[in-house]
Amino acid sequence: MKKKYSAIILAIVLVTVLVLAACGGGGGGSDAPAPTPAPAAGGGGGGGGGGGDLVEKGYQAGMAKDVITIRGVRPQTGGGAIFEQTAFGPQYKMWADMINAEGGLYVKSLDRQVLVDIQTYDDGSDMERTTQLFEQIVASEKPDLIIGPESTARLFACAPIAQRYGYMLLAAEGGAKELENQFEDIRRDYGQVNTFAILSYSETQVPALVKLIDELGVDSVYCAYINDLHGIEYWGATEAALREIGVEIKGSEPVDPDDPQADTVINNAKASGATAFLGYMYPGQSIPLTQAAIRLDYSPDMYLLGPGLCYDFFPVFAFGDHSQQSVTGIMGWGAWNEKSSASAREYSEMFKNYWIGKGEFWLNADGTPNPDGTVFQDWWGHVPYYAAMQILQQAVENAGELNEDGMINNETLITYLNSGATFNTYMHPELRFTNNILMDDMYLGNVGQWQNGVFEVIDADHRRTADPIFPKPPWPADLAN
Amino acid sequence: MDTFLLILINGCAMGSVYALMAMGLSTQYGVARILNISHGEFIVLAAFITFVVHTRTGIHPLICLLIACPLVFAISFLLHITLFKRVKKISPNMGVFEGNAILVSFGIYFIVQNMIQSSMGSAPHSFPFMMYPYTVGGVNIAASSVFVMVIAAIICVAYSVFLSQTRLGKSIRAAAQDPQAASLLGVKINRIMAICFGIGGLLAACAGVLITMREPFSSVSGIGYTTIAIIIVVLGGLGSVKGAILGGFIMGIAGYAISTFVDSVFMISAFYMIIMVLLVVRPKGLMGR
Amino acid sequence: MELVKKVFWETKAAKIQALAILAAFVFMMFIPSFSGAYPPLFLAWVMTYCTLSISWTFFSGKTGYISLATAAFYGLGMYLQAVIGREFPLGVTILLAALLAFGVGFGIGLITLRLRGIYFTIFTFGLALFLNRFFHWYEGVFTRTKGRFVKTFDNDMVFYAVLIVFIVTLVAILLMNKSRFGLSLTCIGQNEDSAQHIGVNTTLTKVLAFAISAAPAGAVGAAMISTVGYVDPDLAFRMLASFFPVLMAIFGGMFSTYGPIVGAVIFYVLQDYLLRTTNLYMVIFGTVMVVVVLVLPKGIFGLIDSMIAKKQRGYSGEVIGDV
Repeated sequence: MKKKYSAIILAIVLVTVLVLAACGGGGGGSDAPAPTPAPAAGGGGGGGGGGGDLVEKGYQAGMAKDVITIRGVRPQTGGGAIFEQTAFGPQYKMWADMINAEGGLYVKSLDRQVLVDIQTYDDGSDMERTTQLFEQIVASEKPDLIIGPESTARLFACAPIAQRYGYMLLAAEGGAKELENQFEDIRRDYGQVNTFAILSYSETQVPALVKLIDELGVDSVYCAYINDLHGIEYWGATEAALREIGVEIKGSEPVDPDDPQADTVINNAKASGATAFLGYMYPGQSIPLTQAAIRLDYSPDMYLLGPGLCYDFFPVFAFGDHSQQSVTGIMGWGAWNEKSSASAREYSEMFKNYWIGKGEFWLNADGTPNPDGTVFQDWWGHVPYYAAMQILQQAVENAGELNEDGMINNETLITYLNSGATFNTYMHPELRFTNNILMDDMYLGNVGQWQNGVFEVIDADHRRTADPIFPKPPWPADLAN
Repeated sequence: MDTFLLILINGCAMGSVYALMAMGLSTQYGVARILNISHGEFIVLAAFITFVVHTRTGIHPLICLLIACPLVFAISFLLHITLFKRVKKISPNMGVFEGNAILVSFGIYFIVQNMIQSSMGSAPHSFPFMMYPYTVGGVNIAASSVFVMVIAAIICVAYSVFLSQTRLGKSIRAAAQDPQAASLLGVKINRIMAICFGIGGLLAACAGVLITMREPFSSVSGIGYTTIAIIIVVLGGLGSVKGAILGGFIMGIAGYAISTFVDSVFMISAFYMIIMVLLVVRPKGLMGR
Repeated sequence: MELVKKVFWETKAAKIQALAILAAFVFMMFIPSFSGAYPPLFLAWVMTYCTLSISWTFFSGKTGYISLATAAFYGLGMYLQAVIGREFPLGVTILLAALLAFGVGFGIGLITLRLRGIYFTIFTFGLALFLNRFFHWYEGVFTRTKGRFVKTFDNDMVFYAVLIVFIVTLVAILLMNKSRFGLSLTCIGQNEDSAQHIGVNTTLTKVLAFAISAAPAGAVGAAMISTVGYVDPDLAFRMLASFFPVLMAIFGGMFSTYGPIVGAVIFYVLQDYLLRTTNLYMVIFGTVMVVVVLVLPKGIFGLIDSMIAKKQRGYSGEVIGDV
């Protein structure tokens, strides 16, 4: 009879070993950066991967704190991978590389620079995995610092986890009105909020658009919005604000993210006869919609699209157009450009110089990825995303200290950020958080418009870099072949 | 009246592409008994081939059919004679085989999608093609849609003729109706299955090439195509090519009608509802045996 | 009672089985007291997939009707927690979620289990996708949002909840396997027509079994979403949650109740490892999937078993806890 159990026993052993390995070893670096001051203890390894040679360097210098570990969960495969490839991904990679080239991140209490080891885990674009891996990082691996997850939904899920484990979370992509409510709840329970939202959302952008609509004298609008957090929130806010100033709403319809039914939407919009068309949606919907608009000869006086338009590569993906003439006159959210300020220009040049020749994503003339291809900017998010890394850096420089485990004390950083400290960033020389979000005057602009290859800021205030083109010029004839 | 004309023409234009997608899946299931979850990935593969060839060399996207179709046919054919033949060998009966085949094709879906994504990124891709309206009966429709519809219709007719007129086509039909009897009559059943799986891939490639001319696509859009194709195949009757064509057009028109009169967001939910009711009332589908 | 005695007491094998489950349960109960904060969460996820996988195997492994509706029941449990989680304690929501999943499973079973295998598979595949689209539409048009916040609970508490659901499911399945009900289910899988001839009410048995296999999925969904804290249709109703239990079961070996558990553990740990170390996760995963079906039709458990069988002659091929 013995043989019957052998299989079960073997299986049980296998299962136990695996689970223990995953739980214990999953942390990797959890037990490695020992608090012991002795230099010999430093060789423990800072969480696998690229940490090895950095640890080595630190060790040779005979330092106790030899590396600052920064971890995050980012989608490297699946549907969300495009954000990691084009939005926040290039920023934190560039920042880490540059700071290590300068000798590392300065820590206040140590009064010296420490090399940075930044590493992210793939969640396969599966949100269930995001939270599990995120909690694994903050609870088990316990790095010095963490970076923000991709998308607003993931931010909703990760912010409470960061709060529970006392980590400072500087969000990158993601921002929503709903986030303010979540922050309120957290503040009620914990006294202070550990998450800081960087990217602008409807709160600042919709009023700017409404002001612009008022200035241009647009009398009626038609809106197609993606049936998603973004579209619903933006249209809800816009609808209310437009009613207030008496602009006629000729119609609105939600659009399915996977199947936008572009021809129908454009036909409906055309039939409504509205002066302005607002397309609150992502490139997956706005590109087919714009193609349909051209094919069906629909060219309203004002044509606005959602996130994605602000990328240099939008016309390339939408029409295979590298001259960027085809998008002239289209408005979208953003916005900043090289004319916004001297520091914005400096950032833009730095970004281009850094990524030229080394991007994993940058494109050939035909749109295929090529490390040697053109470097493309995101004229909405790139400056705020990089500001997130600058804030992280300056917080550690000005308030960084080690806790009893020899790790960066996140508590002091959070208190520092919440105390109204200002940060010198490319986005704003005195950037400051108000209730964990940024006020409108921190941004370089809210609404942009493509004009001859430049994404001009057209907010109706001092941030404007060019006068809006209104009405929008007709679609270029040479697109039709 | 204009609204109805718009729905009819646009619906048919969309439906013709749906029909192509579904015909491939139907052929694969009808003979080889594989419900191919990776079907959409081959559509995307062909679309990317077209995209790269067209943007680099400037030749007409339609000519890319000559490149994409043989290539995807060969890949599918090889997949069958290497993987699925073995799956069939290790499966004790047809029911188990169908289950295993779904899982293997799901694995292929993972692999192909990731390979396309790592080489092409995840952004939507498209190129300008016939960017002007075509006026018919007083309404404007996209010229590219009409062009695609005509080509798709030609392919559908050509495939039907192939099935009913050629020797190979007749053996495929025989194998679909009764594999055992067909093999008794001298049809090499394994060879026919592999060819059918290949033809399924070929039709997917046709759909992929045509899709580039009417809408943007990305490396992750494949699974959406697969689900639409599955819905249509079930509507038309599993394994029935005529059913797939009919189902494609019905769904195309229904989709436009729903998105015009109800909500475009509700369209896919409505498709599933139609299919679920149909499965309960008439599991064989419209044209199933 | 007879049944409990038969499964957990009568033979030496049964006693060992009972003891092993009890020991595992007691050991697991103490894990949170000495581990850190993270291991209970990780174990809860592992047990979630173990539960999904064994409950899937209970129905589909036996009858041969491949169900891809796991994600639907799992997601419904999540949404129930999101909607009523703030008013009730966790235990009650989990129970209600199990009931909801049972009810929906019963209804779906009634209308679909007359269908032939492949149609049933397609219907259930469509069900999860339909719910995804439907919730998108409903939330967008009526509640004017996409996702909902979910009340979060302590990791340890969720761990205990999932542990209990898992053990209850396991024990229930072991008992049912030896009961008249389980045997008639196996009969149906072998030959539905002859099962009918010997007096099995095939439709009722199938429908009931499908509903029973749905209940644990709803329960773990309700428990686990409270560690995420946020739910939207794409998280709740995703195809992977339908396919993973199937693959885990095949990977581990479907002919034994313990096979899917082994499969789920290896699968989840492997996935966790791949995600943290490579960005070729999907390629490797897809390859594993294909290779498993081709090379290990009886799963890891079957592999170990046949290795042992080779060494010992006269082996009957029988294992405890067999289906």
